[in-house]
Amino acid sequence: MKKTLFTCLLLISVATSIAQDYFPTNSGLKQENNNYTAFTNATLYISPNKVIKKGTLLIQNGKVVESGKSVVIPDNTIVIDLNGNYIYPSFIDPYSSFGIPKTKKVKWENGPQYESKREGFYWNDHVMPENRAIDRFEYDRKKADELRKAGFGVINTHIMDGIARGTGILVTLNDRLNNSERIINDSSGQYFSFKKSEASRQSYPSSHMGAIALLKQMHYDAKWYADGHAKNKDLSLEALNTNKSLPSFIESGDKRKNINADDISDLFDLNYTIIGAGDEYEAIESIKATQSKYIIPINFPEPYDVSDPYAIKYLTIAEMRDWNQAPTNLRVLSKNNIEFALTTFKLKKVSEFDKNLKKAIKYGFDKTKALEALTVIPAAMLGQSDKVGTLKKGRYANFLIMSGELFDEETILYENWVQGTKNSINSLSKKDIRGTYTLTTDEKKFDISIAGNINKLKATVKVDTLIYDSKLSYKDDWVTISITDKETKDVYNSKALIEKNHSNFSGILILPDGTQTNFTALKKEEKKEEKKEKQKEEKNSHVESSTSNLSKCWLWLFRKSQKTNYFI
Amino acid sequence: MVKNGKIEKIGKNLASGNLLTIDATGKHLTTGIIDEHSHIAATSINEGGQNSSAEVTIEDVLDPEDINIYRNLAGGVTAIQILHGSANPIGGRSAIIKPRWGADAKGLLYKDAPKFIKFALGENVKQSNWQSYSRFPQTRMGVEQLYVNYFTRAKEYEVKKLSGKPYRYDLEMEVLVEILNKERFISCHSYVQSEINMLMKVAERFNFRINTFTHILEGYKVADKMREHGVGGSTFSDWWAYKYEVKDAIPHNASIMAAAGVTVAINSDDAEMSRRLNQEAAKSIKYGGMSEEEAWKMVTLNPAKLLHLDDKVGSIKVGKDADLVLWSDHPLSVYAIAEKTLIEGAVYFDIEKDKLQRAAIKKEKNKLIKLMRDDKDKGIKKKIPVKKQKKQFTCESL
Repeated sequence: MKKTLFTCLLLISVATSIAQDYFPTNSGLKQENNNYTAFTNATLYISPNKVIKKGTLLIQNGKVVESGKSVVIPDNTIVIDLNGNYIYPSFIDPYSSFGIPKTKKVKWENGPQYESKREGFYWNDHVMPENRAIDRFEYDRKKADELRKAGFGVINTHIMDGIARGTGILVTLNDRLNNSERIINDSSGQYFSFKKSEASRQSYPSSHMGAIALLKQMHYDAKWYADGHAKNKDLSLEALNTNKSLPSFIESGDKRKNINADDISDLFDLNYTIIGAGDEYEAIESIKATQSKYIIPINFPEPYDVSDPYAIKYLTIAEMRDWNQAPTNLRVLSKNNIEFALTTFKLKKVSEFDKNLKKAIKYGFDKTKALEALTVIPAAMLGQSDKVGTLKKGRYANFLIMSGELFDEETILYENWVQGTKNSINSLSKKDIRGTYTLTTDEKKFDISIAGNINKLKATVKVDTLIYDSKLSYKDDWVTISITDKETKDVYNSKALIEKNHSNFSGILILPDGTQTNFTALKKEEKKEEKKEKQKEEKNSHVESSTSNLSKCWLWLFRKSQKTNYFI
Repeated sequence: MVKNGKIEKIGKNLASGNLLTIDATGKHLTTGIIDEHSHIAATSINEGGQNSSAEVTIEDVLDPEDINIYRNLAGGVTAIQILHGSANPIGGRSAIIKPRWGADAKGLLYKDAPKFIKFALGENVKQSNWQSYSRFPQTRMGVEQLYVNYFTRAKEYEVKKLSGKPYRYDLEMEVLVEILNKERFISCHSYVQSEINMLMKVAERFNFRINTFTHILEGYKVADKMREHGVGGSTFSDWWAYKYEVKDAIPHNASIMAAAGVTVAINSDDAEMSRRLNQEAAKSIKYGGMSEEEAWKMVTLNPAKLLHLDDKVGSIKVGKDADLVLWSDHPLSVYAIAEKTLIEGAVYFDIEKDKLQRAAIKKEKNKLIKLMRDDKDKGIKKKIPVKKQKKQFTCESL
């Protein structure tokens, strides 16, 4: 760890804009950068509920100096005119294991292990409140890049292993700085779960009810220890007591375990934030009754392949409803005024986050609530509202520059600034070029339609009704298309620049015979009615079940009960 | 006549007035069946990580969506003790529920029910049948010493607690103290007569009584001693020969224990058998010549007595809970089907409604299949459905 920190310092300190003032420099001249940067003419979301049209955001040394309508811009400020583009505070992921190496699974041995193998710690090896994420943390650039692309600027991380997991850290996703500057809080909270550690074979607890009892007894013992009654040294209980005032988080596992977590929280007045499982909508009344705060994953169930009529018989109505209704979870939680933050936890890939969140919005989740769940709410949960979550004066300069409203299908994320460091995701001049175009040469008229994900565009090229093979790329304002006639193998190569004020592109086309010719591809205007129709179609098609979860597992009725070996 | 969930009046030609009337011509109305020993509706059953797990409770892990709740209703069951398993000598605390299908976990719980805990003896607790040699006790003698040790410590714990001096709050000891103070009752998994005697003696030494011996397949050998101790027996009708320690079991067990004056119940310990406990009770008429009335009591009033709930449930009596079953035939007949099951006056199972709901679900499934087929989200790989083995718990499920 120390070594890494040292290397980081050596390599990065030159490029660092906010240099540590008392560190000597031997790799060049020592310099400081105290420049101001101003973003003007922005639709500026200072917080989810405070938006300023034609606003200015002024930053310096990684922090917001001023934000609002009339901001005095000092001399020597770098001014970036955003021309109506949007600025949002960037997202915070409050629950992850970012940068923490996965705990190694303990070797298998014959026979169960009943006793603890540690000395000087709690009697149960799955209880490790003395663990510190900061001791194992190694900043993960690759993952940071994925997260920034999804709009995140700050992530909270901890050692995701065991029933009591110790303290976590809150860290910005700033590649240019080192840990000494990017770590906002080196003990951001205490973390708990009902799951045993991978690192120990100790049998207890072998059940969920055992895990509940263990957590309770651990808290009773902590009090006993704090009052000075224990005869032995216990570093686990000492850590638990030391970190008592930190925010506490507990990973539940499912909707019913949320209730167990809340029971423990109430018993010891712990004010747990509960990491839910995404199935809260199925038991919303009891979830609401917990009056707890939640962190909710959005890993929606995948659909089943229903093409095999025999395989369908294995599908339960419960599974099918899960698939159908899970995307309503956020809407249901929000309608019931349950306070929650969102997380990338449980997603197979970070890139699914944007897609799934948009799906939830399509299923009725409010956009402003979504932004709150990604900014001010996690900031408050972590007790860091004075540093992150909004773009008020003095907060970290963590923000997104976007072409339009957040969570809109057509909006492009241009830049994700973290602590005043620019991370370009898409060029500011990048446009949504999806649509249909016509490209006319002397002999042929190509109909080109560009569709797909904004970062993964696909072109379909037709001459009359015949489809030609095509390849498309769009980078830095240049569109490159090559078209191949399947029959004659004739190839048309083209490269064209997007025009400034609309989406036509013009450039040079190389015809199959080698002749070069100038061309312009003209975008067809999409009729407004068509657009509306499309949106209508996309509107949610989920079945609002009239039956409650009362008959959720009904389909089991149709199946004979499984035969079990009876050991009575 | 049922009012506010209680039985208001019993008789002929009761003033009907504004009442909802159910025509039961040609049918049999009985009180609901009570299952003293079940492992349904829970997400875990055993905490075998220690030789005593009195600190855990099944109430924490109730699963209100277990379809077996509904199936039990269809079998006329209206109260169930969900017991911890038999992995260790001192098991976990029970949850006594009414199968209110559709309620949440807390809604299932029997309100203000007496407190119970599972104990276990025999092969399971000394881990004879799997390769585990490191947990005490490994012999039946050790089991006895373990009980004595725990109860002695519980006594010491209570003394310290009452002394006003600081003491370490211990979830496990708190529960054991309740047993010593006769505030919590033991339902003990048991087979072999020597062990049954042993546990009764340990209890007597600590001045309390064992409440129920469950399984108790050798109960017929020690029925007189059981009556003397005041313990009940909750057994199977004719289920035996599944392991060495049950080799002496006989189907006349229930009748013999009952004849000796022991309160006897027939239980299920199984999600399938609990749906036809009426038939299980009837078997004792064949084996041992029990009267119909006594046989029927073994799945109603007697388990209610064993659970200390006989003032509220277990029979049709004015003032008791209106937990009722309308049968198509004589309830001890194999042809009898529960047509309606009521808990505290509310219909939780209705065979006619069941048909409609099955049809509705079929329709909904078709609709969902269509939606799933038409799901055009191309980025997602669709899963192939696979057959799921639903785990059903028995005493030994780990």
